[in-house]
Amino acid sequence: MSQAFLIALIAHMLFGLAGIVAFTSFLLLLSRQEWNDDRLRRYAGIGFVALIVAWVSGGYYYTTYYGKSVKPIIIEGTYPWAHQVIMEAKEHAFLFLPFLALVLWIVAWQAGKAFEENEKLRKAVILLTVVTMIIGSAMALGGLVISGSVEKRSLQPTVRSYGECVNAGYPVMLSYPSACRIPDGKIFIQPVQ
Amino acid sequence: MEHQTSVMQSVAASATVTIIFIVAITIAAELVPPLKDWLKATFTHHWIGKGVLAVGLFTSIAVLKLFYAKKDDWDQVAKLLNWLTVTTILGAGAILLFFIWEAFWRK
Repeated sequence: MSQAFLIALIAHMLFGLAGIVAFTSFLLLLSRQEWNDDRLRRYAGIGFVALIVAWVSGGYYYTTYYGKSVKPIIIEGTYPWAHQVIMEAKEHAFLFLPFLALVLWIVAWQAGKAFEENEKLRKAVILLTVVTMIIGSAMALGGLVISGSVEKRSLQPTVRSYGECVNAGYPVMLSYPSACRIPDGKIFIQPVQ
Repeated sequence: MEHQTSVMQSVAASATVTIIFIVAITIAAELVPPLKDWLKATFTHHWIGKGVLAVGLFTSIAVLKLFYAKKDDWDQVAKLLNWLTVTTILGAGAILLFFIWEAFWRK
């Protein structure tokens, strides 16, 4: 895996977790009888921005690397359902999160004192936050299942040529002819026409 | 205060419709391959296509709904947020069940 894909994957995980933590803080604050408008806005804002970054970085990793290099390994492995069910559900339900986070941020920004005065509003926001956190946590757990279902012994056969090595995102050496290296040290030389 | 509840009502209603749209296009793209192919051809990847269309729909409906929002109605905001919560639960459940069906029972 190239460094760009690795950074994207790590950013996806870390910012996703940051979003869940921010909305957990938001929920705890909202559940109290004495709350602080500025902190509510700050936590919801951090949660929204974190989930957007997780969305973009996860999307980049998923659309450029996962489909070509990870999905075939899972499908051919012992647990194909990890992609067919978990990843498919995760990637699509993940599309919900930025919209839910944006709604929560806007409500946190604009409701202010209305949380104190309107119990229905406060309960509705608490419920929506809980559902957002549950979906976010399910995404994180799904990611763990998907990572665990990638079998290392199947990694080798998927890269059998220079082209497959480049497509898989492994580092390409600046030489002539160009060469691509997989993690176990094996090098594939670019065929010269 | 009128402006404040209008914005909240519009984004809550728009997010509800957007989530229904995401569920519908997700299932439709699996059942109708030409739709998935069109998303891939137009947006380079079906997932990017769904995301771009969802953002476009969310923005359009939020702007339209601004003109029809009930003024200064906090109970209406709470009601729309509850609809969003219910839609999210049902939508996530529908997507999960669909992919379970597709993986284990679809022929």
